[in-house]
Amino acid sequence: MKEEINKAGFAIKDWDKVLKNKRIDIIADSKQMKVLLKRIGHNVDERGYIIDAKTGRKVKSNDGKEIKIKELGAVLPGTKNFVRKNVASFSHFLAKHYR
Amino acid sequence: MDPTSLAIAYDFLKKIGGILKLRKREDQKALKESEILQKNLFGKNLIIINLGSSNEPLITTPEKIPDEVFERIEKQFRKRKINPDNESVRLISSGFKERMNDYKKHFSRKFSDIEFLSPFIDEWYKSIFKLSNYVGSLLSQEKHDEARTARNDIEKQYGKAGRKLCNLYLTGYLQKLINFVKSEKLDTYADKEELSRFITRIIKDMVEDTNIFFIKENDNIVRVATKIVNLMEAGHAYIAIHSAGSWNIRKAKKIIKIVEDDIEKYGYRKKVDNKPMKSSKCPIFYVRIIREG
Repeated sequence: MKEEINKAGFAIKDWDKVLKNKRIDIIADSKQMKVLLKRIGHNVDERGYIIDAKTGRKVKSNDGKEIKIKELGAVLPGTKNFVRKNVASFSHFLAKHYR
Repeated sequence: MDPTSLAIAYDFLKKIGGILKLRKREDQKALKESEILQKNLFGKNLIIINLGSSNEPLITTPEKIPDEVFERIEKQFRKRKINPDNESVRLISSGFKERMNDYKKHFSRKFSDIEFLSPFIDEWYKSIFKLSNYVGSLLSQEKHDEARTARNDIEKQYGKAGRKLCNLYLTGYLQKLINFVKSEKLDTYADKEELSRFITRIIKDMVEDTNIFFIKENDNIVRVATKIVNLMEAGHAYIAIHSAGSWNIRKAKKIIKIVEDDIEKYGYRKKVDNKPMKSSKCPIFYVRIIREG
């Protein structure tokens, strides 16, 4: 696996170094985000809602409402913090975790 | 195009300084390097990775990211209490990171009015007031489009009540509340829980209606009474009168006596909350005048 990763070239040659970082931000568009969400146990249903792959239930954003992939701003640390692509949703997350 | 060729192409373009010029039009703001990479050059399968506080982009594809990264994300999901500045892996939609960074800087700053109220209000009000302050900051920088977007965002997250609170914040109502609390030394004498309930109630009043009077030492009784009658004449649904301290309470009661007949005449009713704050040496008096029907 490591050899394959090293073959990716200039951009990331050494994942061990990457993994040593405390903060890693992965920035992706909607299409790529679907692939990434799949790797953390979430899918996107036919109407574009993000769902828990195990239960099939739609996940909720921090405003308590279901969220579509195109509305997703970020997936942040904490109890399933799916933040919408707007500053108010992000502010809500900060207010909860920054005292 | 395979990743190695892509990497070579990227390296070459960076050397000739071509990346930032490729899509720049006169009418377009300069794009961040990471946004250009993502949108314009390398097709749709590339992902940007930033490490720590650096904005320098590293490139990869989704399949190349090792399982360990996703295991860290899943572990993060289970944590109830987190410190966002500590170890974290974040998935961020392209185009949103800049807005997050910009807002985070603003959120981290201390604003005296919000700092004063923070111990007494829940985190959602704190979030709304910080957002409102952010809107004010954007307006003062003449970033009207961004201010409008932020205001709309407040409504999306917190509903019409949130938007109203934002407007009230920007027009100085929160400062009036703070002045009232400070002038009556309620923050000194009342216990935190009781004062929190009191302040929260006033904030809720602000959301329901903006006709709130805080009776102060230098208020003219007749002038205030006239304003109240005018509001009733105009059909406003809800008027609130707050006073604290025996002197101001006496004043408030005189005002109510003046407008008593008009309350009935214009089809309103009066609701009095005369319970003193138990923990405070300072009594309070709160009257709501509500339109019937």
